[in-house]
Parts: sequence; structure tokens; C-alpha cells
Amino acid sequence: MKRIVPLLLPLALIACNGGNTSSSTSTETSTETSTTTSTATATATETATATATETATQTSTETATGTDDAATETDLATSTSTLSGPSARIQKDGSIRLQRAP
Amino acid sequence: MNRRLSILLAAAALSVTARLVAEPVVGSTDASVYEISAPITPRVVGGATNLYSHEGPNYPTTLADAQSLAAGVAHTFDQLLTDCAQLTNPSTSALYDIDVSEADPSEARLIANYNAVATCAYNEFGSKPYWIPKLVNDVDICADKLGAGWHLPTEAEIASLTAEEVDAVVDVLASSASSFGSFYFSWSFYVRSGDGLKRATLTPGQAPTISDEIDETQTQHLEGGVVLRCARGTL
Repeated sequence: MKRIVPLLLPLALIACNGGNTSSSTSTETSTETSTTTSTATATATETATATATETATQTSTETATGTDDAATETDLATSTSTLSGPSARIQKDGSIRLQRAP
Repeated sequence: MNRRLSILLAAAALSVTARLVAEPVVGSTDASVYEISAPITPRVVGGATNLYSHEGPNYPTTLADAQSLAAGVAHTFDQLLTDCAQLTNPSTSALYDIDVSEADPSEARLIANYNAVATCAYNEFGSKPYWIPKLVNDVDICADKLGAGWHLPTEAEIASLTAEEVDAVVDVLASSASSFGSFYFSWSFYVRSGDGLKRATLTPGQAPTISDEIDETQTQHLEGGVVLRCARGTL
């Protein structure tokens, strides 16, 4: 009998508290749920934006790099052509100076 | 001659030979350089004197008078560059886009100057490319206006240009958007042949064409976009 009394007393106290504050508990739960949902949405949005931006930037950079490489190749081709073929340029007096290939 | 002296003389001879090989002649006298001037254009109307008032029956009767006429009506690029830099373009109400202050101007600046001169020559000085063939044939306009070494291109010089060289020359002004294509940008020009004048035309991707369609005794001005360009150097 001594063992049963200590166990029943806390259970009785718990039952009493739950019964007296049922309305208050309901309100708190609702508020907490709302806050949590809002936070989760914000986090999702930030993540999506960050990912999109990073991807776009990276793609752009890679494309630019490719173009630079192409331009470099063109320059090299031009230089090679200039060295092996004729070249011409305008001068201050409006004349055209033709340099024949060596 | 002792052995030491022989060695010294041989070394000196080698040094001179090496310098001759390593230092090609530079400048306009270099055989591999050929310069073609901007068109020299005549004032055809207005001014103190103009070409149209001296054609046909009014053409000069002496060489001296013909030389005086050519000197009086011919506009060179350098003259126009200086004169036009002070003037306002009526189309833009601003000075012509000319800047000669840079010691080593960029190609873009030189092209801009060229465009401005082309427009200004027409707007302000009544210049058109319409020379009188007999005047071009009789008077050495190139040397008189541009100095020694400049001459009317010869048929042989222009005919020797390869299609690749034509491309190089024509491409220099190809990017211009000027509306004076048949005027300051024309690559159809007078050349001197063994028996008078001919017309040379440079077309991208092609060897030059030379046509015998000019009557060098004609005292009326000639239209059709054939311009007077000069040359320096040899091909």
C-alpha cells in the first residue's frame, strides 16, 4: 500500500492541472505552430534565391571565360596572319600604309 | 699582312655584312611599303575659284594656268583636317569630330577624323571627286600638293596588288558608316598608264581591275565616283 500512494499522487496532480488549464494550453500551441511555419517558409525562400543566384553567376563566368579563350585564339590568328601576310593601316594624314608580306 | 691584322679585317667585314642584313631600310623608301593617300578633292562650286567654272571651253590654255587652277581648287586631307577642326557641323550643331592633339592616336580616332573630313569637305568646301581628266593628266597634282615622292599611282603598281593586299587596304575603311561612300571612301581611282589615264578599282577579295574608260583629253569634269588618290613608294 505504501508503494501505491506515491505513484497515484503525481498522477492525480497531473490530472488536475490538465483539467484546469485546458483552454490556456490550446492557445499556446496554436501560436507556436504559426511561428514555426513562418520561419520554415522564410528559410526555404532564402535557400532558393541563394541557389539560383549562385548558379547564374557561375554559368555567366564560365561563358565569359569561354569567350575570352575564343578571342585570344582570334587574336593569335590575326597576329599570325599579319606576320605572314600583308597588313594595312590608316595614318594621321588619312593615307593607307600597305606593308607587303616579306 | 700579318695574321692578327687579317683576323681583324675579317671580323670587321663580317660585322658590316651582319648589319646590312639585320637592318632593313625603313620608311616610305622601303620597297615593301606602299602608301595610298586620301582623295584630293576639288572645290567644284563656290569659293574664289572652282573647277566647274574652268571646264569645257574655259579650260586653261597653258600648263601654267592649269597648274594654277589645280593648286587653287585642290583640297588635301591635311588642309581639310585643320580647317574642319574649327568648324561646326550643321547636322549636329557641334564642332566636327576631329582631334589632332594625340601624338599617337588610336585607329578609332583616325577613322573618326577621316569620317569628319569626308563630311566637312562636302558640306563646307563644295568638294566632290569630280576632277577634269585632262587636268589630272596634265598636272602633277600629287607632287604639287603632297610633296616629292607622291605620284599618281601607276597601272603597273596597282595591277601588281594581290587579292589579299586589296583586302588589307580596303578593310581599313570598311567599318566606316559614312554616307560618302562614293566620295571619300571610293576605291575607284585614276592611275597613269603608258598612254594616259585609266581607272583602277579595288574590290574586296579580288585582284584589282583596270579599265580603259577614261579620256585624258576630256575637259569636262568626270563623275562616277572615280577619285584622285596619290601613292608613295613602289611595288
